[in-house]
Amino acid sequence: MYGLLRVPKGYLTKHELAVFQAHYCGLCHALGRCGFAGLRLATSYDGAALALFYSALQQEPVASQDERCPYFPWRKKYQAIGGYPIFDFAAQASLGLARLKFADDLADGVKGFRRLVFRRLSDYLELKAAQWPEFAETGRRQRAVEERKDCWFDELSEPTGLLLGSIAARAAAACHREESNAFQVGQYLGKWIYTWDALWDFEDDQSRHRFNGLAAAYQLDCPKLNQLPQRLWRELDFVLERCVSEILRNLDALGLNRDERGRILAKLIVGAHNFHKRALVSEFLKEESCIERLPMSWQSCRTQQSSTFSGEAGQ
Amino acid sequence: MAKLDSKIGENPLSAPLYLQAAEILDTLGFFQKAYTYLAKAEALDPNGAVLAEFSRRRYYHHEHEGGCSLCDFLCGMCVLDSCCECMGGDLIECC
Repeated sequence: MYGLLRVPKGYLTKHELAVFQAHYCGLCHALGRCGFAGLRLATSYDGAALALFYSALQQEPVASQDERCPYFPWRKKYQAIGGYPIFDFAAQASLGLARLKFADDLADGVKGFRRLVFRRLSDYLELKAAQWPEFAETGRRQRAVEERKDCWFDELSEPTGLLLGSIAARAAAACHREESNAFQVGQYLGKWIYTWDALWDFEDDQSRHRFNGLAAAYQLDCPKLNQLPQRLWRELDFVLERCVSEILRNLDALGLNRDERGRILAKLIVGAHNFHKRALVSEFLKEESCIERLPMSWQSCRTQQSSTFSGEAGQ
Repeated sequence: MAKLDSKIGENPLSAPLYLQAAEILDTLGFFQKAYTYLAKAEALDPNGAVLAEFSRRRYYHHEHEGGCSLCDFLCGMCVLDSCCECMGGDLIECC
């Protein structure tokens, strides 16, 4: 995952943010126990959301207390107390996802010293994630789809969807909960993440002649996002909205709307979705001629106040 | 899906057939493909009934437990008004 599940500032209440932060810190501690302290850099909002999902499925309260963060020792943080399997699970998944990210960067042709470091880290993380065959399988699936010239966007986002689906199903199985609904939560979240990631990276990938899912599926050769046609924006809006709708449907089907952590997760996903719309419009799609081509819900984003990512949860 | 495609081939101006295909693909999670069929259905049905039907059937209206919808609020107001009227007062004069 790529850290896209960020919360807009002020969107979560103080208490909700504290619960999310407790899971974020719990994940960071668990990553620190996985090997060397540098692995804590793999802590992400997405990993924290996975921990929150597992925690909500488990239905048992997670004890938390104020502790000093080793990276921000002047601040006390509300942290989940270690020892819960949810954090070890989320840490393993985060390492596997970090490994995929390194492998993706290597395939994109990172050069020099960074290539050397990425290669070593990728090999190290591959050993760490060896018990999760899904990760290696996802890499192979993704490369196979990307090599095809006539693929649909659905097919390109499928490997990420299947990977997150299988991670979510593993969490559900461990908690003796319905696996198919959990799988779909992960599957649609994976598709949602892949789509936003392709949108955010579009201009950068086009300028560096790197692979981009949107450019490949729609055979686009324009360098700017604001040159995309109206039909494509409507289609992408449909894909993203359907993903969010299905995630919420399956979260509710799992009964997570009856748990505070499940409700925070649902709020987080809806908030992150609206945030990305607003942020993308304000960063790349400001011109009047471009705004007219966007779907109505995107056009109205321009009038809303653009907020920044909340660093409070993640630091 | 192949059967449906052949039906569409025989009757390419039928919006319900495109809608049916869109719903199948949507259920399988192929949203991009579903949208292409939905766009065709929409083009064949300019008054928007097809799209409205799709939205009604497919979009999930998530509600947080413990929340209060507009309907809940209005029902509450009606009950309060009735209670006031029983006691000789009136909360909402026009009803």
